[in-house]
Amino acid sequence: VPDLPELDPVVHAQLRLAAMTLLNSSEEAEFTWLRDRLGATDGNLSVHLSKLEEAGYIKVSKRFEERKPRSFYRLTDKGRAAYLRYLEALRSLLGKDLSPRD
Amino acid sequence: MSQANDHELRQRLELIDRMVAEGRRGLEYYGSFFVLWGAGHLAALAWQSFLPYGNWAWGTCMWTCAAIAIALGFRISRRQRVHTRLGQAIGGIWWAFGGAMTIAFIFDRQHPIETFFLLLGMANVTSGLALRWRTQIAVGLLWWAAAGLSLALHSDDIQRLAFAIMALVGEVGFGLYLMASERRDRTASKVDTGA
Repeated sequence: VPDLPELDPVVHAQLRLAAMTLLNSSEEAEFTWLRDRLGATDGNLSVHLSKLEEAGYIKVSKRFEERKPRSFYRLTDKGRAAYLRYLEALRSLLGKDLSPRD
Repeated sequence: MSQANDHELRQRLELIDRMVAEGRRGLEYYGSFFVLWGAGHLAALAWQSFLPYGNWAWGTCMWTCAAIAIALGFRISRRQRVHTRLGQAIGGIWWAFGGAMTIAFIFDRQHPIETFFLLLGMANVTSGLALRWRTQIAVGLLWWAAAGLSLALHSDDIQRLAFAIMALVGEVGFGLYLMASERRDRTASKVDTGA
């Protein structure tokens, strides 16, 4: 049996995968922008972003804009590498699954 | 982790596709800039054609628009909630257009209108291709058609008419369409991420 690639469980959760995809196409994104795009609640998104931060996949910077505190998130190099590895593994798994039908 | 089933993997792939599309919508539309410049061009045309001190029309209107556009640009960038590489690339195209157009406005005495049509067509087509957005590509092609018409016919009246129509359609109309799209996107339904 050929070795199947492992899917990174930190990336695999739907909300975290969606957030990482959005961050992969951005230099940085503000919390409320992510929340609006993901249709998540503040609490739920915070929990998932914290997990990504703990894994070292994203970095948060807080700053004041128009007198309001804002949190901006960006993918770290480690996070981008993990995301690309996940995509590769996903393609590979789907490719293997699809091959009998091709 | 245990391997996910085929259905789950396909769901993840679809989710990634949707998020990539959603990320593209994060770009600011800058519709107000098109409306501003379109109104400026129409005002300059009307002033030059119907009001006294017509030779002041273009300089006054264009430098006023430039000052307002710069102020508006700073205001929008301060409030921007996402910074994308694609957004920076599109912004670069329009800054480059502004620089080229300023040089043409000051030094090009032979074909300033045609140069403007060609450059604006190029900026719109390039932005449209980068965004994979047919509407903006079509607007760019209209500008090029107006340039071709002006260069072929060499008639001041036709040139002015083409400019007025394009300022109305390609700038004010397109800008209003962008602003409406922006408003629609803001109120669009949330994406289902299982959150």
